[in-house]
Amino acid sequence: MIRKKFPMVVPLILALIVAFGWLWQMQAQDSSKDNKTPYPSMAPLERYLMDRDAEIAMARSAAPESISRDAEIVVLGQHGYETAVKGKNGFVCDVERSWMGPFDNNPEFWNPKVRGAGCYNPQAARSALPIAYLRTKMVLAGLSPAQMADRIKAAYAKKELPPVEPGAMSFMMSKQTYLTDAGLTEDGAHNMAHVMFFTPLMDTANWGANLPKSPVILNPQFNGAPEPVEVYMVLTGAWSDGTPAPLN
Amino acid sequence: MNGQKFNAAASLIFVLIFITGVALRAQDNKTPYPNMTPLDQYLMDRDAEIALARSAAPDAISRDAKVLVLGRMATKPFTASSRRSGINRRTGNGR
Repeated sequence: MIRKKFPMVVPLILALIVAFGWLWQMQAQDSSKDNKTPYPSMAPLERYLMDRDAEIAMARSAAPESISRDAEIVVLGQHGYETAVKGKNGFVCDVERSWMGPFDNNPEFWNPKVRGAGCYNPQAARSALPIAYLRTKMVLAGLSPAQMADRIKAAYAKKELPPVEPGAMSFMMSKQTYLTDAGLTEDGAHNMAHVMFFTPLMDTANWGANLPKSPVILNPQFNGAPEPVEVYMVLTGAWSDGTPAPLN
Repeated sequence: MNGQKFNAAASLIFVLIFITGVALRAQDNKTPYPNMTPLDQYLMDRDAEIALARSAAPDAISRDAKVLVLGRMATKPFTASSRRSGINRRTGNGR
């Protein structure tokens, strides 16, 4: 009797093992997918917007007051960046959102928590800030990251976007900035006080970037994909209000 | 009368001396090094200069850099080590 039933039970057990294995694999894949793409698409626009006065104050906090007090301040509105305060010294300060990050392999491209306060010097305001304006315009028009990358490539080909000017740089020294969910400095902060230098594409060895103990870090932000711009960062060791900031 | 004139002249001379002294001192503070000193004061021990030049950057960068040292013939800077990284290092005022 037992011998007769045995051949029937074995396939049943095997089928159950296969089914459980398949379910486990699917669950693992879903979990992995969630971890890799916590922000798979754009959140409602309101989640990227800020109170106007808070955004002006945060934009100004990107640089020491001696620089930002006479800077133009732009804020993100429903239709893109708009001038909130006219400037006198040629600097332009803003608060950038997650879509200023790399297009490729960037799980935080749509992270609505990202707020990056920057003050661009006149050269960068003319030649790097237009990238932020164009990316934002395309985001608000509903383009996908791939479509945005194609349009940017075309904009450079048609010279609608200018080449980066010599001397272009920006300050990113705001305490309030949130750059990524990952910890950036040794204390696990999501921010780091730094200045950025914009150059045309070049061998990054020319800046000694990312070498042991070098204070120069290559930002993967543009890097030819597709903007023909390198961004080198140097930690300042101080926030814009002069208080100490991590250097590692 | 003569005594009054003498006092006035003495006061004037004192004030002039004081003002001249202050002015000279202010000038000294502004230009503590008004002229070039003897060349030797700007030169360094060659090995110390090479080490100082290399210490300008992390070892990962400066170990393969060309190192220039200041010699007596300013028009021909002496290359103290071979250039491999394409990065020049020099001692000086950072410009």
